[in-house]
Formats: sequence, C-alpha cells, structure tokens
Amino acid sequence: MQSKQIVSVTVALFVVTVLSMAVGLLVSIEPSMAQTQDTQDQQFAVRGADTCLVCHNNPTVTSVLTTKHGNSSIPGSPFATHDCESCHGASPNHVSALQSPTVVFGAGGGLFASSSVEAQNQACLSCHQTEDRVLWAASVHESADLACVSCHTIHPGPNATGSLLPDIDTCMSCHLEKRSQLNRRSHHPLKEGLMTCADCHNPHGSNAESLLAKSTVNETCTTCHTEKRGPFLWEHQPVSEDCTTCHNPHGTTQASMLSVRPPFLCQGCHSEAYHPSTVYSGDDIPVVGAAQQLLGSACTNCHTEVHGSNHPSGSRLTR
Amino acid sequence: MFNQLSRGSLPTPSVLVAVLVFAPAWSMSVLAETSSVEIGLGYNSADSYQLGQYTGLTRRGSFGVGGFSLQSQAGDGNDHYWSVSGKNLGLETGSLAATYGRWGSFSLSANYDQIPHYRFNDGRTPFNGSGSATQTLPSDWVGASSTSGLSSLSSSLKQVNIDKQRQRFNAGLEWQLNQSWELMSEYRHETKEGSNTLGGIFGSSGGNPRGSMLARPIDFQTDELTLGLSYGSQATQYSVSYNAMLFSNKDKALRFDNPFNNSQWAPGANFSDGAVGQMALEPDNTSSQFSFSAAHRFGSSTRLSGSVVSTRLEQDDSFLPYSSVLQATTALPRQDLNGRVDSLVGNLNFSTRLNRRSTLRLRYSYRERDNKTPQDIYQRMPGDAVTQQGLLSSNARINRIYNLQRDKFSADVSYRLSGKTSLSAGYEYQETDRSMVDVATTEEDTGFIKLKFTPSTIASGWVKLTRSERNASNYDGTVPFTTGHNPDYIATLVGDALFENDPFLRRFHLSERNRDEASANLNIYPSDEIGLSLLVLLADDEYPDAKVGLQKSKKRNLAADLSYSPDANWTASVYYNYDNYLNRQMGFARRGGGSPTPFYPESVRDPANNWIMKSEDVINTFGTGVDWKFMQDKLDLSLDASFSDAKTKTDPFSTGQPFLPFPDNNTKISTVSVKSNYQLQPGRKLSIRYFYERYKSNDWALDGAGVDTLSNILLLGNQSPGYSAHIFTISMSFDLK
Repeated sequence: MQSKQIVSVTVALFVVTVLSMAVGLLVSIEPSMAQTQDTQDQQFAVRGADTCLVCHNNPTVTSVLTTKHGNSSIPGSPFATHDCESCHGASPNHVSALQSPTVVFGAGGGLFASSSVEAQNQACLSCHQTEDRVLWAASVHESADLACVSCHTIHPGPNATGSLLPDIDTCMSCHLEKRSQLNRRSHHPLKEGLMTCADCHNPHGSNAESLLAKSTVNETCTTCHTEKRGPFLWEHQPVSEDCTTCHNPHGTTQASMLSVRPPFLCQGCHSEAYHPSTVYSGDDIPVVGAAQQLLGSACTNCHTEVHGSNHPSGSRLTR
Repeated sequence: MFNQLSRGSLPTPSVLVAVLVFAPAWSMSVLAETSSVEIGLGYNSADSYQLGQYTGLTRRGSFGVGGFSLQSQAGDGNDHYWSVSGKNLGLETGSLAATYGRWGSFSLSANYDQIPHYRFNDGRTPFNGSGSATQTLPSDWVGASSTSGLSSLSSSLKQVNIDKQRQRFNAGLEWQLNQSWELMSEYRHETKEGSNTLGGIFGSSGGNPRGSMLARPIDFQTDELTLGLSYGSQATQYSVSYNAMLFSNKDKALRFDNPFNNSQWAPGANFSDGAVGQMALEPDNTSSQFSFSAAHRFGSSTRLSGSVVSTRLEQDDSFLPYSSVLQATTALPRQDLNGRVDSLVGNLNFSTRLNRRSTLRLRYSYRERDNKTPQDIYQRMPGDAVTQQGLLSSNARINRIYNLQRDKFSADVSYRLSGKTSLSAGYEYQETDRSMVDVATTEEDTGFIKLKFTPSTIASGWVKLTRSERNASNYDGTVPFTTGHNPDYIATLVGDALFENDPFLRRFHLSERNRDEASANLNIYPSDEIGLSLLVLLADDEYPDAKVGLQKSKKRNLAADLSYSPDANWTASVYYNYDNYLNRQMGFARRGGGSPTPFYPESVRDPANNWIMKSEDVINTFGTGVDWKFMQDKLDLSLDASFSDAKTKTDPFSTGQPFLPFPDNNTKISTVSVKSNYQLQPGRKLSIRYFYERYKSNDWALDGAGVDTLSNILLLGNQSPGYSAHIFTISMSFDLK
C-alpha cells in the first residue's frame, strides 16, 4: 500500500471514530438505565429487597449482601437504589402473579426462561461501560453471545469473600485447550498465582487480535519484557513482527516457551551453507558426538542476541 | 498451587509486625467482618531451583506463612473506604496492596508485588565475577585452541546460579468526575535484577568460533505512566489515553576474558592470547503512545466501535566500538543509532442485526510499523580480535529496517435456522506488505462456516471449519542479502551468489501456506449436578512451495471436562487433555563453494544431501479436584491432583546416510495438593495444607553435556532438573471485628 493510501486510511479511521464520538456526544445526555426506569415510573417494590426475601431468603441469594452490589451505603450501587430490582428490573407481576421477573440471569434451566443475553448484559453495562469495557460493543465475546454472568458471579455463595472477579479457571472453562499448556515445563506463572489471563488479554474487548490488552502481540509482550523492545541496530525480522512466530506464551514443552526446539526452529528460516543447512542427529549428542548447534542453548550458544543487537559488529546477532 | 506460602526460617518479621502492631490498633469497630490475619509455619523438603522457579521455594527448610486483609466497613454515613492486604508475606512472592477512596467519587490504590524466576543453580564457570558486567579468568589460566586443552579449567570452576527477581510498584488514581466521565492515571515502577545466560563469542571462522556461556547481569528498570479519560453512557462510550514508558539498563556491555588462544587451523580467525571480548547488552529505550477508542450503539440492534493507537519507540544509546581490543581502520558511521519506530494500529468493528434471524458483522483492522531508523554501512569485526575488512567484503553490512503494513477486512453473517440451531459463515482478507524481506506482499484469504446447536435444554455445542490460503508468489530469496550488504560489494558478485539462504528455502512465516482447521465443542448438562464439556481442535498447515524449510505442521487437541456437584457441600471435577504437535521440515546440506556459496541448481544437487526432520510433541495431562464441606461448614477439605506427561520425539532421515535417532525428551510432573480449613471457634480458623510435586525430566541438549563437552564452547553444564518435594504448612487465621 502506498503512503497516500496510508494517509487516507488513517484519516478515515479518525473521521469515523470522531464522528462516532460526535454522535455519542449528541446523545450522551441520555440517562442511565436506573434513571430511565425511574422516569418511566416503573413499579418497583415499595419495600425493596424485603419483598424479594420473603421467598428468596437463602444463602446463595443473600450472599450478594456481602458484595459492593449489596451495600446500600455505596452511592450508585444497586442496593442504594432499587435493591434487587436495580438489576432484575421492576417486576410487579412477578410479585403479584408469579410471572417472570423482567431480567432473568443465567443460562436457563430455572423456573423462568432466561432473558436474552443482551438484556442481561444491559443490566450490567448500565453502570459498567467505561475504562477497559469501552470496546465491549461488537467485540468477539459480545458477538459470541457471552453474558457478563457467564464469567462474573454476582451472587457468590455463602462462603465467598466478596470478590466478583473471575480467575483463570473461569477462562479455562471455555478455552479448555489452554489448561494443559499452563501445566507445561515452560510457562508463565499463572498457575502459581502471580499472573492472570487479564494481564495479557482484555476479555471485554480490545483493538487487537485475540482480545489482547495492548494493540499488538509485541506491544503486549514488551510491556513486561521491556528490554526486548528496541529499536535495535540489528533487528531480527520475525522478532520485530510478531513474538509468536517463535514463542507460544501459553506454555510449551521447549525452553523459553519456544514452539519448536532449536536448531530445528531456526532451520525453518536459515539454510545458509555449512552449519545452518547441516542435518543434526543422535550422532551429534553425547556420548557419540557433540555438536555446538545442539547442546546447551543450541544456536543461541553463539547467536545469543536473537532478539536484536545494538553492537556495531552484531549483524549476525552474535555480539 | 501453594501460592499462600512464603519462605523464611520462622514467622517473618513483617508478619509479626502485622499481627502484633497493626492488629490491636485495627481490631476495633472500623473493621469489617472479612478483615483477618493469618500466621503460620511451613516446611519444604526439597532443594531445587525448579521447584522454586516461580515460588521462591528453592531451599529445604522451614518458612513462614503470612497474610492479612484489613478493610473499613461502609455505613453509618461514612462514604469513604480503605483496605490494606498482604499475601505471601515475607519473601519472594510477597505482595502488598492498599486502597483508599470515596464511593462513587475517587479511588487511590497502591500495589507492590514480586515475581521470582529461578532457572538453575548447577552451572559452573571458570570466570570470576560471574553475573557481573566484567568477568575475568583466574591469573593462572592456561589458554588453548579447544576446550580439551584448557588444563586449568577443572580447578577453576565455580558454581553459577541463574535467577532473577522482578519487583513492581503500582500507584493508581481513578476519579469518577460524574456519572459518565472517569479519569484515571497509573504509575508503574519495575525493577528486574539477577542474571541470565549469554554466549560470549571470540573469533570467527564460519560456524566454528570460540566462546563461553556466561552468566550475564540483569539490572533493568522500567517506569510507566498512563493517563486516561473515558466516557460511558448507555449508547456511547469512548476513551482517550496517553502512555509513556522508559526502560533503562544499568549495564551497557559485558566484558569477558578470552579463554582460548593459538588456533592454528583457522588463520583468518585471531584468537589472540589475553584479549578481552565485549558484548552489547540491551540499550535504554522509550515508548510513548496515544490511543483513542470509541463505541456507539445505534438503537438496540447496531453497534460500531473503533480505535486508533499511535506509538513511537526511540533508542539512542551510545554505540560500543567495533572491537574492544583492536583499532578499527574505519570509524563508526555514527555514534548512536538514533533509532525510531513509529507504529499505527486502527480498527473498526460494526455489527447489526439484519432481522430477527440474522446478524452481520464487519471488521477492518490496520497495522503499520514504520521504522525511521537511519541506515548506514557498518564494517563489522566478527570478533573483538578479528581485524576489520574493507568496504568490498561481506562484513560491510547495512542495517535493515523492517517496515510492515497490514490491512485486514472480515465479514461474517450468522443466521438462526431455528430456535435450536444457528449457522454462521465468514470471509477474511489480509494483505501484508513488508520491506527488506523475501516477500514484499502476502495475501491471505480465509473462510469459515460454523454451526451452533442446542438440541435440548441439557446440551449445546458447535462445529467450525476454517480454510485459509496465503499467497506469497513473489518470493525472492535474494532480498535479505542485497538489502543487508554494501551495494559496491554486491556489484562484485555475479549471478546466483546473491543467495545467502538456499534458494529453495521458504521461510514459514512468509511463504505460501494452506491451513485447514476443524474444531468442535459439546457441552452436556444432564442435571444441575453434572456437567461435561468436550473440545476437539484439528489444524493442518501445508507449505506447498517449500522444498527447503517447514513443509507441514499438524496440531491435534482433545480436551474433556467432567464436573459433579450434588449439593453446596461438595463438588468434584476431572479433566483430561491430549495434545499432539507435528512438524516436518526439509533441508539440503550445502558445503563448500566459496563465500557466498553459489546457487545449486536442482539438477546438480546430490539427493544424498537432502534430509527430513520430523519433530513431534505428545502431551497427556490429567487432573482432578474434590471439595468438601463438613460439620455445618466448620471444616473445608479440598484435594487437587494433576499429572502431565510431555514427550518430544525428534526423528532425522536422509537417503545419504543412516542417522542415530535422538532419544525422546520427557517431562513428567505429578502434583497432589490437600488443603483443610477448620473453624475452631467463630473468627478462628486452623489451616493445614500439604503439597507434593514430583518433577522428572530428561533433555539430550543438557544431560551429559559438561562444561567442556563441546570443543569450541565452554558450556555452563547445567543438567535436566528433577525433584520430589513435600511441603507442609499449618497456620491460624484470626478474624478481626
């Protein structure tokens, strides 16, 4: 693509986003969901949660009172306004005629059919739309009809500590294949509790592939591995393009989370005469032999600056 | 795992401080019911760096268990809140967190956490000052042309530990300006200190330099500041933010003595006695970024979101000289890189419900990496003791600046066939332009079809098929050579000498590729108590043009989850994963013919030089967990166990000569964890935990490879890790009311 096209695409992106922003400003006077309900004079239960607890007084339901949502002293919390009905919607017919509440959360299977995922999520989004949830609309998880309560437990149970944040098991319940990767020899410290999936991914939507928290793979990786960011005098092209060309950050059976063991990984791109194009075998390891391209750190015994070198003599990434 | 543990010989001072000083003061009415302090003891039976890889538990012995969580309770008209907590207190994985704020108004937070990373402690080196920026050999060191002649090596060896510690401090402010606007700022200060491995190289003679694996110093510091403003209403959200990140490395170079000398067989390589080598370590760098995101909901059925992120990376550390010991005949073209890379990432997502049955989604993304670093000719000296050659040599190199531009457009439609079934299909086009690499432009077309089904209230699932084809027909393997060498030198070459790599090589991330994927998921919930999930992933990659390089890659994943929770008092689960990754790559052994090695037409190639390498990873992972609650919830008991068996097979083949196969590399990790919590009385809980892990591994790259096994390179000689560890802890926790 030519520079003119680059400029035009950039300008187009800005125009669209700014237009979107302008539209948003025009309609931004709209009230929040709770206010909408108030202005529509919906019939909330006069006694609030006390009305609900006549029938729903069990530990699973009342556990919400141990969370911020259930704390009426917190301005803006559900229990500071219409208690249960702040989220479940005004439901006078549920009280009077045992009809379905306005919003029924979950995947179904109860006495009443679940509300649509959109309706469920709207109850949450009416308060939680800023910060890292700005790109929820049209995101991968929204498009997959994922409900907020698929991951977040609002009624956490009688022995919960009050945190509504999901842990890595929540992610693994759908991304089943990732669990074994986290248990491999070479992995990031997720199962040790020192990292979470959300350190690299934003499940609420992002501008990058795989819901990455940053805009590219490399930007995500170099947030912590800052020393590999460069720019270097001598770049290694796949490194500057995408760290996952060589690494699988979810865990591998090779050292340094490499997808394939060197020298074979390196030989996928390097076939120069002599040692890069040589075939290596069991003849080249102790006790039969000893090839410096196989033992220890393999190719990086010598080409040690594989992520880039700033040495004027380092064009072969050895300095 | 045992992430509630912290290491130490006895209850650590910080834990005691928490209990003896803070607790009496805060055990008054300001504390909520959930405030608590935990203190106890533990014992680890194993000495192993691998066990302590991310836990810090590297040594046998006792340690302290400590943690606390204190927080204010809202109410009584108090609209401010605070909380202070500590986890894994005492040592290497310990963390502290504090918040203070006013509900619905602002929140201040501060966090401190640490991540250790232990690699190995069984390495050995003759160098003094290992792990520092200057490493010297003993005064009585006797050099030789290969490791077998290093007569004073064994008496000079010293232990090498490779590990590092990351410490991070975060401070943040979130300020709710009103119901819609929110301001945030965050500051991060992070340090990394310790050591890592690095190869220090001397001389140059094709693939036969002389070198030593060294323990290099790690002394990094990163400071990051983020400022953001976001807006959210029911229909519209947007945010704007600025981020600045500064990285600094205390050590700019690593200097090391040359252990080798007197190489008689390679006159072009000068392994001079007493020379000092110098490696460049990572330079300081800075990043500044501006980002803008916006989303809007048009009515109830249409959404539009987009973002733009603009980033600038810069680096201008002073260059090291070409050589630390020889005077270069030609000066450096510049004293620092003045490196700069600008990048721009943007995307647009649009989705709309066309009617009650169908939804349309359109996505466009753009990524540009614009490397504005100046290019020059650098007359490299391959080793610190190798004399500089002229401009008309292969060592006159130009720094390649890699640019990239990627446009990706996708469209997909989902259609609800019935209340129980929906069908979706989509197409994606991606075009990537790159500079100074083998392929200027690649295009990739991807199509998919997905069927989601919910045959009954107790089952759901999906099946997805994907096909993608990447076109790289303009592959030109001479580009890396011609863009990276002095044009005057290139003019002296003829014809096919411009191929540095084998002309039949196709680099796997740039070449033609056909990818087929099939995946399926099934979830069955026959009752509220039982849940079963199955996932199958199959992926085949083919590189049809690669006569040399990666030709095929296959992936097979199977995952199964079964959970059973008959009531609130106990739950059980079991899972199994099978993973198989297979790669097949082709090579052609090229030897001789000058530098650069000339093109070998296929007609004159000896088939005996062709080789095939198949590598396969087979991993079986099994796990189970059970949780019980007894005695009116007074006793909690949980049992977790997992077993992972990973095997890597590597199988070389050539018609030219028979090869000994590689032995399989194996890693088996077995883990059992038992936790019990017993409520002795209200507000007093006794916790007893037991953790067992057995780690067995073998690796032909390490096992049997001693410091002097290689003739040209001194290794560190570390071996495959293995251990059996029993870890016990007992602790008491006190609720503070």
